[in-house]
Amino acid sequence: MKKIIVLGAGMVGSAMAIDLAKEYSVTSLVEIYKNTTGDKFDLLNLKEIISESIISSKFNTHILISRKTLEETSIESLKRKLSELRDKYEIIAVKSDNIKILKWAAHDRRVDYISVNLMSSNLVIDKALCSLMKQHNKCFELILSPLLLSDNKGISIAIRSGKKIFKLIYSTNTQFILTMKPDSCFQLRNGIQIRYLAQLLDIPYNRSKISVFDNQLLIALKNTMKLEKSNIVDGIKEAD
Amino acid sequence: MVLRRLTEVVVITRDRYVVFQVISNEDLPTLSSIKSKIWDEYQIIFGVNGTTGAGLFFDNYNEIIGAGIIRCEHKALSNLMIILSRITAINNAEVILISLYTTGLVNKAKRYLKILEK
Repeated sequence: MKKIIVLGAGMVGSAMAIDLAKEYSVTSLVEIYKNTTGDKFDLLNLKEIISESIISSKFNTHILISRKTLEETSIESLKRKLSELRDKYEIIAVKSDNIKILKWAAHDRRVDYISVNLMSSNLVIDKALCSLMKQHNKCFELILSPLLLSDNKGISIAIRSGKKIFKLIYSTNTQFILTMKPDSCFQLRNGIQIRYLAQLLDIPYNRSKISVFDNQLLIALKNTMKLEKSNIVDGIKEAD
Repeated sequence: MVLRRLTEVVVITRDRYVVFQVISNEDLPTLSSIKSKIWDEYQIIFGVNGTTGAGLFFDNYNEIIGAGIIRCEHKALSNLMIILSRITAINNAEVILISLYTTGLVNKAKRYLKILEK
């Protein structure tokens, strides 16, 4: 039996997961972690434990990572939503046209990504936001589905704004990830295809490997720790 | 001196052969419709000049399994890959075009295609 990892359970991902669940057993990273470590919480060897359990021949299940994108209009409503949803989803992304909300979200440790819309007419992100993101070790998420549009005007807008955004991200050396967010299964693209599509935004092929494969898994692993009850927040020491 | 002149004159073009497959829920599209779609998309993104420089040539298309070979220049390979990943529909039917194998030898590409046909 082949090993498949499904990262993301949005509109298309969840439908795929439901279909896969008929024939295969489906699980999440949190489940694997609990099964392999039990009550012990081994923070140092977490990455090794999970990678071993994924690679080992005994393990043949599919992994699903739940994700939620918040599109709130004010900081207060975003705060409320985050406190409601922080334990329910493994990855939480924020999408907004208001830079104040994005700057606030960049500070918050419950937020993992800031989604950037390639179709927006004005550039939402600036250098200050990029350096904030870098400081707090967070990622920008560039959704490439507008590049599949058949409308010529739409593509040129997406490419133009995408090039500007990448130039800004590249100059500040901020982390970013590339995703598709497909509307149908025919818009699904694999990692290599995403890397080729990213070349339209002047993202070199050899630079996009980390942003397609490595960063996404790293964030998922980090969040597996975040959702654990025994997690200790960075900068806080555990009492003896 | 003679060698230097030769390198100035001779432009070496190396071909790449991409084995691709069409995935669709409906009837598989014909080669002519795939051809025209790829040419159109190439012209939209890279212009007429880019399309002529790519040296696209379609060969060995099998309509039963929907797989075939596209030849292009080695410098235009990444552009062709962009176009293949950009296509979502041919003749109003939703499709995915996947590049399965890339090689510099046509016989290797044909061998790969034969394995697919089995």
